[in-house]
Amino acid sequence: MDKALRVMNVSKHYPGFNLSNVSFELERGYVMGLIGPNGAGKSTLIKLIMNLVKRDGGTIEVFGLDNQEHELEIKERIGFVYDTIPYYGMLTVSEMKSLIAPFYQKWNENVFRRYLKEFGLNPGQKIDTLSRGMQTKFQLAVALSHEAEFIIMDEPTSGLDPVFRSELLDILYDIIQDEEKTILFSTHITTDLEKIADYITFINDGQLVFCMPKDEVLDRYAVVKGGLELLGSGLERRFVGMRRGHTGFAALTDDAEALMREYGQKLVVEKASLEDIMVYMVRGERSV
Amino acid sequence: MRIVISNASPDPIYKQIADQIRDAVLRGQLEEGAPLPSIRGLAKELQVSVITTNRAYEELEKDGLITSVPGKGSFVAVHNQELLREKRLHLLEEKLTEAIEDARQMGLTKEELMNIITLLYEGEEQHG
Amino acid sequence: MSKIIHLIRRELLLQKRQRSAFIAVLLGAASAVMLPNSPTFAVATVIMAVYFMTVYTNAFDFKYNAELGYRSLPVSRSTFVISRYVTVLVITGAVLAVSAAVSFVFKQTGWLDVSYTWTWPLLCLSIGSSMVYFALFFPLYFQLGYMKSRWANYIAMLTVYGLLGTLQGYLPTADKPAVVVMSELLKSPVLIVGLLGGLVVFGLSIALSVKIYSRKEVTISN
Repeated sequence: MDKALRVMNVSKHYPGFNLSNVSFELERGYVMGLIGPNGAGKSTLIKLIMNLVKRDGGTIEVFGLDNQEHELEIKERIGFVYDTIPYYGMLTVSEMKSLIAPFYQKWNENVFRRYLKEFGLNPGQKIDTLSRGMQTKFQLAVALSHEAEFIIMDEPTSGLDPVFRSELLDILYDIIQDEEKTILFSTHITTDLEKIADYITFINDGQLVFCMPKDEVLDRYAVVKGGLELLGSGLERRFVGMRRGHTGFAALTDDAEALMREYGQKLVVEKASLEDIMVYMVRGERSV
Repeated sequence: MRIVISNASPDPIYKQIADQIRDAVLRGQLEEGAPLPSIRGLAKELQVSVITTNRAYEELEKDGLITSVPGKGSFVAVHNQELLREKRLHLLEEKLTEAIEDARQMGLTKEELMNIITLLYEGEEQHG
Repeated sequence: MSKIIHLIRRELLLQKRQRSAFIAVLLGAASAVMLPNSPTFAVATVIMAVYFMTVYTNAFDFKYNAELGYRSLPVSRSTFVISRYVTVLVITGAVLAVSAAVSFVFKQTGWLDVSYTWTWPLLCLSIGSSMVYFALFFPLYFQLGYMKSRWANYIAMLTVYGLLGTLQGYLPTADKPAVVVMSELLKSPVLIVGLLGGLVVFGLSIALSVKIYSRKEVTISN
């Protein structure tokens, strides 16, 4: 298969934080959501892919090319969107564009202008005076105007309202109508952007928890709820994480079908959301 | 064609999509050779992932209900009426089996069930 | 090559936008006035003008996380580093051009008693000093970043200014204007050796900074 991204056994050590032996792949033409709590290593991973920080071990290939050896060639084909806009705030949109555009061989001014119009961006406005959402849109316009095949976004929706998030979702759906475009985004707030994700890569505390098609993830896990009297007979061992209260428990399991057969009406089984999966997995077993 | 996805449904999303398209084809709402939305277009429309719509289409293709032409898209398969009728009959049988199961559980006799069916059938006719 | 030009353009556009270029023009003009009687101060003022421009770029890059942006573009780190050095030369040249133009006008009109304009030895001294100054500063900057290097930069600038000022006191200016004395002191062998030395230091510094920056990881300031 044609891979847009291959991360193999990648490690990065910081004082007090280790990203260890992370491996996953992303096929060209698909969307991957990188999820995990704050400080899990999502940003570090994206910086490693962009070769902004040096890996301590492993290899990273983008379009089948080593991201350090072929850095410039790869970056021609990547569009990036960061949490904080990395552009000079005192410049106007069009001035900043004039500083970026010459670096891309395939810069397309018409496409850029079309996106400005579509996103409602005024070329004469200073970047500092743009709202956060508009700054993200400006980054997107830049990312989409040089025929990038791979769009990498680090927390593109953090601090943005649901209306913007839904707009961004529509924009991303438009991008992927072209089968060649690959998208990787990270987020610590789930429940809307991941609708578009084909694959979910979950990292926690510098470790890869899983990288799976989203449908498989949602298929595999379920939330089960029941009374406390059910516990203590080995049931807990079949839970990935549990929240125990005075009136009952709620737990995440990957064994819902068997549990339903064995416990029948005594258990309430519900679909798990990605948020449920993230929370239960990160927090493990806890009492409230 | 109408496709409505429910998060409350126990069925996975790809199955909900496939079932609703299958239904539309079997009921004849989608004519032979009619184009279906593109996989990516449908993903956008329903706000689901491409893998999900792709899997739904694969399922339908396996059933022989749709065909996919690379570079052109997916279309309702040209099928002979016999086969279609058979499939619909099969669907009907499944539903009836379900009803019979329920009837048995309630302790209805065959005659009682038949009476209900007759009544409903005639009622339907009167209405429309 | 064209990427370097665009990176230089970037710095100039930033200066223009922030009107910090105005300071450079002002200092350039001031150096023209200082030139006849205090040539060392004139040279120090030229370096100071370049210092201000460079510091502004550093500060903007820091404030706006521009490094994150530039490092994500298809621009190699060495190109980025080299562009900073070349920009120093460009700005030095521009400040000297302003200064020379001002002193020419003053000399023609007789304003402020500016009767001498830049001599070749003094122009070379200015360019050489500016090169040496930034040859020493940039490796520090690329190693430590803006926040940690700015005080060293500030103190170094004051020291250079003080040293050149002190040197002024030792010029034997009995009967001739200081600018003439100083130009005569900088006779060709001294000047050529000095300039070549400056070039070597500049080149070595570029190599060092490229090496330092190739290992440097992007940190995000906010």
